[in-house]
Amino acid sequence: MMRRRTFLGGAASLAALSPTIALAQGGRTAVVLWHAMTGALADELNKLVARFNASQKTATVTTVFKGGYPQTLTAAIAAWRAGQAPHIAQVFDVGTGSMIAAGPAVKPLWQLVKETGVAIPPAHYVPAIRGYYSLEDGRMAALPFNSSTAVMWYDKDAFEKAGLDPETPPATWPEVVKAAETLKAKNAARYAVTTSWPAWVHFEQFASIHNVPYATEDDGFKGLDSELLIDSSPFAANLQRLLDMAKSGTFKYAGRGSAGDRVFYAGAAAIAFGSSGMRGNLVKSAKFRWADAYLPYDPAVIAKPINSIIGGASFWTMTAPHRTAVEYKAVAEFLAFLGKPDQDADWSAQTGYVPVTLGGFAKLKRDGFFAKNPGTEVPIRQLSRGPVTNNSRGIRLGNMPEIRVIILEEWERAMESHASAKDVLAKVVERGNKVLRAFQKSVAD
Amino acid sequence: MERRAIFRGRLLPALLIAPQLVLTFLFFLLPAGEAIYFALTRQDAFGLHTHFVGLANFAALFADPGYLATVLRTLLFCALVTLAAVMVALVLALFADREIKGRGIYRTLLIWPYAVAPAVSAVLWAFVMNPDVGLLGRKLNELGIPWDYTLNGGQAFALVTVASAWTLVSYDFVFFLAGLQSIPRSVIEAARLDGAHGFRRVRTVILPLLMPTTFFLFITNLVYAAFDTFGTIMALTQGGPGQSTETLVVKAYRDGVLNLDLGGSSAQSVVLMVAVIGLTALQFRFLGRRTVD
Amino acid sequence: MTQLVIENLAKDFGKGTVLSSVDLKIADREMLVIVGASGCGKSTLLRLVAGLETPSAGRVVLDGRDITHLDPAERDIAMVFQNYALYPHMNVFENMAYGLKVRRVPKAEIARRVDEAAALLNLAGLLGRRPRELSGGQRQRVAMGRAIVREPKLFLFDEPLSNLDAKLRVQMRAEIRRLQRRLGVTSLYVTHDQVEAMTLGDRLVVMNRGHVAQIATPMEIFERPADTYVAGFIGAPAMNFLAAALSHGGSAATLADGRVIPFADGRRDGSDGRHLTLGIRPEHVRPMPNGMRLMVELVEPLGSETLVHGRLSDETALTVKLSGGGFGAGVLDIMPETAFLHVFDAETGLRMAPSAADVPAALAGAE
Repeated sequence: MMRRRTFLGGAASLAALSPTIALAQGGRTAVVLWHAMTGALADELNKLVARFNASQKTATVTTVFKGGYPQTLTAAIAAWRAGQAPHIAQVFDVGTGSMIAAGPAVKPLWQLVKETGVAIPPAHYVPAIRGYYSLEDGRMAALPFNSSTAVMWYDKDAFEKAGLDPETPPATWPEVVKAAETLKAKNAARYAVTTSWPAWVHFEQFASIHNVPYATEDDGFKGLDSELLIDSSPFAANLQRLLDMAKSGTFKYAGRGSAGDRVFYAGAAAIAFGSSGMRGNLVKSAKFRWADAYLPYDPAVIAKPINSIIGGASFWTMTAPHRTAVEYKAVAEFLAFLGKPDQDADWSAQTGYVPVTLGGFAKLKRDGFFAKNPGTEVPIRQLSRGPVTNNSRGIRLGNMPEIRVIILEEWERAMESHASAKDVLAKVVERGNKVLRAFQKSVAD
Repeated sequence: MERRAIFRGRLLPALLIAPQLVLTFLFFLLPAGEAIYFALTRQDAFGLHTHFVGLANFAALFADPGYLATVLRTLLFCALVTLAAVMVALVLALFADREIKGRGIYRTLLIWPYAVAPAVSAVLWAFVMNPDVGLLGRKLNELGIPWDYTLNGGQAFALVTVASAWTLVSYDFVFFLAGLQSIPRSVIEAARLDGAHGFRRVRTVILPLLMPTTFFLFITNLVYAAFDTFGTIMALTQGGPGQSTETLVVKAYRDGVLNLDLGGSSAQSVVLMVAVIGLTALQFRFLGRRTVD
Repeated sequence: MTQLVIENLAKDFGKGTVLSSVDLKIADREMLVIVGASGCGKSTLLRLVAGLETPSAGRVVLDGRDITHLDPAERDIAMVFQNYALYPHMNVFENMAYGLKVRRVPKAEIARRVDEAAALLNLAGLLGRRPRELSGGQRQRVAMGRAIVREPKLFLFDEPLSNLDAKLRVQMRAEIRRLQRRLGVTSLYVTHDQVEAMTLGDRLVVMNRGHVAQIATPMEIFERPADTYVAGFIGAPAMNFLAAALSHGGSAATLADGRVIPFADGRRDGSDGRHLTLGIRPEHVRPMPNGMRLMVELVEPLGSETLVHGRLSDETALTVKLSGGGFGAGVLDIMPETAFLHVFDAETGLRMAPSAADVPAALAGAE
């Protein structure tokens, strides 16, 4: 007989199979951390954890890899329902809305600080990053950890080949379009422009740097009854531009997620929008000269773009029956430890994520890291550009992952059907609002 | 003949069937019951707010044109995968059943793909068919055939269909070969002497005698196509582009695991469970009757 | 007028030779039975004629047409298989009609022929049944019917009775013979059962290790076996063999104990002292005072007859068939009836006929 799988109650059995018991080891309090880091990133996380364990004698943190971000979140939720939640769960950016609505399942950072007396001052954190994980009134709900932002990567060799100045990357979208046409005309690369994380870069980041709302209720910060606003003209113009570029052969939609990264690594695209975290792989494998630059802006929307938002993940403190004050204290101390300049700077330098604290940023600067690694400052500068507004704090909507998928699905359809951006976005808003209402209903008492 | 248990008392029989009962309870009844319960509720991911909503989740499901489109897409996908796999496997088995040179190698090579996990096989297909880096994918584009399954829904659907059928061909091949070998040689020879040539012999004698095998394979292939292709689809297209490769299982996963909509996802699971129970009952009924013959 | 000619037909499997250089001729309406122990190549010969195997050498000619390399479908030959090989998913009518349907015979004609065959075979009431709903004998008859309706040039039977019980076998044997006579179809019949062979065949082919040992009428084979293999194979209980040497100028044989047995039918060629094998069937041994001394080991009373098994003084095993009963253990003095003595060359095993000049007139005339 063939293997048959059903998802029936998968969540419950998953939880039953992975109990997390706070066993005291040699008198030390055990703290369990579930994460989604792979490869070199996991190694670096484990180094930080080992350093923490060695730095004090009361607590031992152990890490458990739980798969990708969605799987880690689902596992944590299922574990909580079974009374077996880990002390700390790494939750990706778009899971933030769900976690903030999780009530008793989590202990928001501000509350943890208040209960344990361990100091984690919000002021130490980079505002644009802190804002993403904070409540409307500025209290921090989760500890920012691995954070990146979107930048524009470009192939200097291809620019040179096309007769473009490799030191002056395009700054606005009209300039991007022009450069793309030149790159295509000179056949400088297989594709002129591509992108990774299409929904994150061209909708969420786009909204932030152009200071336009993504959704009502201050992008959802003020309440659950927010509705999408991404059918407004700035978004429509931007998407139409990308659809037109795709039609004329200057833009390559490479797929969902990080699929565009590979195209750029392989030298097949001259310009790629992607995470600032691509640096590590570029250092390792790129056979061409590359650089990063600010995300381009649309001068018709804003004259001076403001900060971009972050992507990545944060650490959430989770609750469980019989979890003691001692355990929470150990959790707080670990989280505070991660926010120290040494750790933050080290993590950033080793991984390519941006430093999340001002102290870490200052340390990197003092150590000459930015001078030695040109371009590493671009993401931080972009994140700290201008004052953080209600449109550039981040997006606080429930079921964000599904909204992203809806954007991509409709976008992909439009590339086949040649529908206009306006029609695409009308459909996205219609479907997306249904998702938002469903979420609102699900968390209603 | 009447059979009588040789066990006295009740303890031993109870002990002997207990493991099976416990397994059935833990891994089927309990989760299935939970799914049915969830399907009747609306709740947030953490279960903090649970409302009993009766059949509202099912009503919402069947009122959703997206879901109905996914149902039709899944039916088409299952039918195509099954037909392709069964037909190709049958042809290969008919060839392998004859005395040909290198028959052993041929058979072994045909059986291998089944040992490959669906996700791994999907990665292999991606290596071959990727429009930018795949061996065949690039070639197609170089030849001026616009091939890009990341953008073209039809191509993506074709790709996941072929990739899924590919794994099944091995499985079906083994069963067909065994089925062919259980047909008495002399019956085939009688047909030859009766004047039936190649295709006619296959159609009028071999196929009818392979009917039980074929029916069994149809059911198992349908179930495989509906459930076990999840890894293949996730590795190749994640259901895209658009929703062109989103099957019911992919949708249930997306709604349950990614979108944390337990009620809706459970309702979908219950629908799937009913479908599987129906298919299995059909199989038992048909094959059961066959065996009595 | 159907005649089958097999010329120099041979078959090798890998390194082994299953059939070497067989020549046969079957006359119109003749029933030729091929008999031999298992592995003698008889089934292979049949399958070569059917076209189910490809020969390594030689020709098969049916009615003047060389069919050696024709597909079985083109040969106009029908075959009855040992396990009947009925199509399990078709009813009796469909089983019989299949070959005609394939050949695009008109429907009415198919119905006529099937009905006729069914009447002939007592299958009329069973046409709607599936093979699994039939008894062994009925299945056998359906298999026959399937061959009959085809009205082929040649019938092939591959041990068709071996799956039936003894009583049914005797019945079906007679039925096959009757049908074959009545339909007048040239037939080739393979069996390992010598009784079946003797009763069914117009002529027999006795095969031994891929060779034809003898082709003749059943009585000829019984009375004049061509070699010791045929002599031992045909006839039950089997013929006794005694070692002897030619003596008295070729007119007698001397046994190991010095006893002399004169040849009743004439002299044999060769110098005295030539090694011989004498054959004598158990029914041709008579008790005789002062004869050869048989140490009786086993007595099998069969009612009207008794089989006595024993050993001669030189340990040669010998079986005697005596009429009547009442024989006990102990010693029995016996002598072969010289008129029924078979003389074979000890080295080649071949039959030694009397010298041509010496054949008595009576025997010569019988030939």
